[in-house]
Amino acid sequence: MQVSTAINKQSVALRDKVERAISSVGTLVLGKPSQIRMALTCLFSQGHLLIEDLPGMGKTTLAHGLAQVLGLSFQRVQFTSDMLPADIVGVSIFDQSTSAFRFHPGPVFTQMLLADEINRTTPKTQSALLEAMEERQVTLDGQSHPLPEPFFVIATQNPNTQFGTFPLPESQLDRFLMRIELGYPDPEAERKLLAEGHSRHRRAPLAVCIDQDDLEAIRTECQAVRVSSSLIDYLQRLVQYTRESPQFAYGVSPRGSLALLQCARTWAYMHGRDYVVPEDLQSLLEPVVGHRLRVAEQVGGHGSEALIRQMLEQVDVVG
Amino acid sequence: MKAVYQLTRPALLWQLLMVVAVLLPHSLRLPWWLPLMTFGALGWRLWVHLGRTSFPHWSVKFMMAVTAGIGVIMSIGRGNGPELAVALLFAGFSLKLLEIYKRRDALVLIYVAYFLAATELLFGQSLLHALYIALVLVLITAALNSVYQSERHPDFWRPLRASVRLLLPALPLMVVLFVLVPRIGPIWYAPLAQEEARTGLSDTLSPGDVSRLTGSSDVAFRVQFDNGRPPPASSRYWRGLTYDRFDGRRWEAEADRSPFESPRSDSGTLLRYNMTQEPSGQPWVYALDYPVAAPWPLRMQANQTLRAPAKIRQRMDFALASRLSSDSFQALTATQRARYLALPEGGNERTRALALSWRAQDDSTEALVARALALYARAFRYTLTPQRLGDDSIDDFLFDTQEGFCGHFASSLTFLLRAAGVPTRIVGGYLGGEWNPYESYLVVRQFEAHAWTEVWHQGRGWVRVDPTAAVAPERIEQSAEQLLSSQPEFLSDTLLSPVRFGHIGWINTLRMRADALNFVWHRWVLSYQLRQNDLLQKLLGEVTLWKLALGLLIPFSLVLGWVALGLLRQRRPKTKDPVDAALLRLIARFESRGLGRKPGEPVGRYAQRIALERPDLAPIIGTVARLYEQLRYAEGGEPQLHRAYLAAVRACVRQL
Repeated sequence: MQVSTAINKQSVALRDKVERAISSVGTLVLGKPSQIRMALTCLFSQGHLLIEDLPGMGKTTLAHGLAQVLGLSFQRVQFTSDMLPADIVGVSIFDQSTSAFRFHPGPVFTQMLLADEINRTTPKTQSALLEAMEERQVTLDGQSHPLPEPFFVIATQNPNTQFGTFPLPESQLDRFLMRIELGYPDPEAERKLLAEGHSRHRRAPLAVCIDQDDLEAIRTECQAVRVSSSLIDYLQRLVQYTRESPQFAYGVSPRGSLALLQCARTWAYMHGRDYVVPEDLQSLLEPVVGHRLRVAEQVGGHGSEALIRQMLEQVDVVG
Repeated sequence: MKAVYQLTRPALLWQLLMVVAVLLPHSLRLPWWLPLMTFGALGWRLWVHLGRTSFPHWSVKFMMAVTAGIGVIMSIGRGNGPELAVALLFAGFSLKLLEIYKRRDALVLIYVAYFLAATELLFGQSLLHALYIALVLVLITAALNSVYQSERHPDFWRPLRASVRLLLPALPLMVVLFVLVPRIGPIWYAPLAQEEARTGLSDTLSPGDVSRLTGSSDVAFRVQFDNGRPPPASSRYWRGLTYDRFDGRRWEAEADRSPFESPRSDSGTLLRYNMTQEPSGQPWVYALDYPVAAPWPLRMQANQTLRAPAKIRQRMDFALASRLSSDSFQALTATQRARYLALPEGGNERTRALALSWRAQDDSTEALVARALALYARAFRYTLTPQRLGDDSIDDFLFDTQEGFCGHFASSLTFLLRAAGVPTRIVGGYLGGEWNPYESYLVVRQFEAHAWTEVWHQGRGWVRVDPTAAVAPERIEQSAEQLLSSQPEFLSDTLLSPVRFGHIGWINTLRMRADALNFVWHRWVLSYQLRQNDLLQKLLGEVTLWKLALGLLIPFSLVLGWVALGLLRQRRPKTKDPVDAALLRLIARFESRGLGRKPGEPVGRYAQRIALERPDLAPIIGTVARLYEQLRYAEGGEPQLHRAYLAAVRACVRQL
């Protein structure tokens, strides 16, 4: 029996490009194909990505690689505690020759912005960036300056337990579509990394695998991925669980469940399906929902990760 | 302070409800101000909850604790251990109300509440007590549940439902443990104050004494006959003790140390019965005239009465046997003869003269007794409120007032016969009893207290002579109630006793039924240890350790299995959808082979796992999973897809 997956030739070529992009970034960030796939899913779903991990785990490298394979203009801002909003969005300077204020755009005017160690700066500066993320424009002195299309932010942050961090409030965490962690590389990948040594820094930038037209096409195809009523039932059971279980201080918002569904469509597309299956939701639940939940205080000692795993075990897939 | 530990509104209300429920039965026993203090603390706490005031300062709490402690000790006194301990606990419990704010405080309160509920059983163990305490346990457990309720979804009734659900499966286990677990005697015993000062017969009898008892409808004892039928009303004489020594005003029971020898010949049918005696504060045990033998640890005395080794302070059960008639006797020793003839040196001269004149005419015992009874029948009147008697009480009674009740008649007859040289004694006990048809037992109440005489006949032994019968034969033939109800003294202590309303049919039925229920409760629950052996033997045959262990294990596994089944059932909801139903049937088949699906396991991943475990099924289960995915998630609605799926499921079941 022929399984209908409705893949035409153009789709095959597109998906091929996606696979090439993944393996291409994989030469830069060794041994993390699933995280790369996850990051691309986030970008294809038009969301911003938060990478949370210890310093030196390859967060910045990953962001670099993604910008290169997507062929996007790239800016990097290293956040520090003394930064001001103007350092990001730009300033208006009085030009004596024209006797008028002239806007000097800041680093935010780019297609891909790497906000490094976003939680080391003050909430004031954080919020300036986060406004740009949400509105995709910058307003200064009453004038709006639209940001380029597409516009992605990849923010990295250190775990909140480290010194000198200003944890992002829940409302701002919610702006990020996904939060992923990289984790230590496995021994094999690390060995390769050590063997290559300094030669890695001198290599040429990665070739562009997906141009902007491809990106547009991928987004269109993702929107066409089907979502059955059984799947929505399952999604609702998961969301309901977070709202009812005493283990969570509060549950997933409708924005959160929309985000989960959106990512699941892209994830299904990237796995060559034109419909979403429960496995997609299960793989994405932690990265999409994890940072939107707060663990209730009575449940001391459990991270949201463990609780989400437990939730996946308890919520029945088959209604 | 972490806000999340704060109690929710339903939790707080449950705490308060629990406090009231625990307090209620204790409140009559506690010093009057203690319940008031509890309600004050309750009100204060509610006021805090409503935001009208704040929690008291620690110094205020300290002052209240010290004052309450001293107050309790002063009002109760240090003599009454258990009452004092309970009252102190209660004072602390009430004051703790002013501190409950967080979960930890509530837990302290709840655990103490469990303990306080249990202490109620120190003071009463009736069926009503037990039922009430069971209710209180449900409430306390609900309070415990409410403390752990999610703060986001406070629901007032859910803790109660959870509590009932938790306690219900414990019920059969409780019954099993109760029936099977061997009983060990109490490790300690604390006397409770109200055990003293019981009503009942005392070891002295002055003629007016018995009427004191007619004011009370308290139960003296209950009797269950082995043959299920009561003896006729005229032979329901319950003997407790004999009064042998007269000092001119009152009769005293004097211990006769010589042992009782069993009768020479047995005549009359043997009547076996179970005597359940209420606490009397006295050592004697009542038995139907005439008891045959004394079961351990009772002792049969020379005057054919039964005596317990210690005062009866709690309800006790004895298996006794009696004969209604006894023509057997043992000869009187010289000491005994002297004892039953002894009179004070002087006084009551007119009676003595009368006795001597009778004796001069005819000195046979029969004739003397007959003359005395004839005298009573001729001129005397039965009343509970006789005139007061002077110093020579017997003379006054016999010649002047000529009215009285059993005590007067018995003591005058005894005096008269002793003066005439016939050994005579007064027997104290009860006459009558009310038959309860619902559980087939006889209830004997305090107002049925009676005194009669026994006269020594040469060659026949002790013969019962009841002078009251000569005056008021209805006292013997009818119930004491019918006779006494016209007397103003009757039941004067208990104005609202249901016995008073015995003539109203439905009240009487209700009263009998309630009494029967209590009797069964006592017989099968409170004094179950007496019957445990017999019952277990009936149930299990020979009682062995492994049978007992099995008897405990099987019900436990049944209950736990039932609970587990309930949990499993909850997890696997029934579905009407044919696609899901087919899948669930298939999974059920796998489950019986130890390859069940975990709830969070998607069908695709489950199929992969099955394929690993059963490589032979890999292709077909893979097809099932793929088709299921198509039907469910790709929304492939084609009928042939549907048919292919069902066919694949069937094929998979076959290959299994």
